[in-house]
Amino acid sequence: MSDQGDRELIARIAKKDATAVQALFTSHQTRIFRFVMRLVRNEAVAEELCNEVFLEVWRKAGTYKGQSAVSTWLLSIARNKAISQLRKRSESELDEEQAAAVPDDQDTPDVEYAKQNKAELMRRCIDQLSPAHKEIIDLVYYQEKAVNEVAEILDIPPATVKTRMFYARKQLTESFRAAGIERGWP
Amino acid sequence: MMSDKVMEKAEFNEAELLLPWYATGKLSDQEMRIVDEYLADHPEAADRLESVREEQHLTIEGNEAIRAPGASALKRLMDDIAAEGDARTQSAGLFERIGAYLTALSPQAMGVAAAACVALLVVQAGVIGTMVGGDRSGSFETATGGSAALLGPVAIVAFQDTATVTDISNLLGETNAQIVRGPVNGGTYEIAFPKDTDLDAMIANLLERKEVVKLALRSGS
Repeated sequence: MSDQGDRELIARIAKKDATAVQALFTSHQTRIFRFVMRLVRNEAVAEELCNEVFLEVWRKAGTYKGQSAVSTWLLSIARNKAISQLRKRSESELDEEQAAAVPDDQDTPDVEYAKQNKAELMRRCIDQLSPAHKEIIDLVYYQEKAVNEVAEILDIPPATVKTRMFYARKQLTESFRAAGIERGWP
Repeated sequence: MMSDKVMEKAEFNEAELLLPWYATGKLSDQEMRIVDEYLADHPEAADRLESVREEQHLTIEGNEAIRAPGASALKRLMDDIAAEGDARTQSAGLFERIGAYLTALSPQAMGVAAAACVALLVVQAGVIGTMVGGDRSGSFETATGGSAALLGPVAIVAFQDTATVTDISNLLGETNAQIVRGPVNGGTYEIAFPKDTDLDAMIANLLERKEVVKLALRSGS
């Protein structure tokens, strides 16, 4: 996606050009929706939050400083909204470090199933990472964000981005191993 | 399997830490050189890079398994924006405008692969929009958001990998078609036509558009 094209759209949105926000929405909604969906795990909530992201862009396009890619800015807004939603849902503040340490406890991988469907089982292992680990895996591998961009979205130092990604991959290796999948590091 | 000792050692190795971004091409030139040199000096690290690429592939698959947002999402956003009361009235149809925007991004600017990616995103989202009946008041209807009662026969269509979003948009516009579902079953879409459409003739017409359409079948056949 052309960031220059996105920046031009943001400039038009700042002047309240509705077709520009339509174009931006069309270009980015799927990735934003999927990012939010992986965090909140509820389609209706994800759609609501996705809508709120672009509404906020509509309202605050004039505040966009252009220091980061538009897609990075969108993901930052989306993450903040998702975190707020999760906080409301749990009625307690999300402790990211705690979340990072506790793998998702949904379905336990089935070893026999793994033998037949290794790739599917590996995807399940990724899904079962802790929210913080899955989030960084998604940002790096699916959203294809650079270290500094991930740092901006997660509001953590770049060095922490690298180590968190390392530990996410390490956790993934351990999950694979627990599921009977052996491979090289991780 | 790499031993825990080697894993811990890798923790302090900048090149190892950068492998995920090396695989996604998101490193600076200097960082790329660091990893290139590391890989040249440590042939065994190629396996670890392969693991990174496998993880990336699985992550992409996992994300793409999540359906695109509902087709009503764009209509809802535009309704919410209209409710804010500060939108400029537009004189051109959204269809034209999005088409123009995406055309501007296509091959010359983005490369063919990127253009195909845009096409996929747009079509997956099912939001090739049209202004309703030329209404310029801002009333909005997405490709999949129209009344089902207005929709007629449905065909299953697969587009050529090389078809751009402009190609697809033009085809849908020429045939008054709407994407009602997709992509499913390896990249096919369900396309609805107006009620009085002769579906067999339409399918024959689509199949003649070989530059855009790879496959067209009667839905349910």
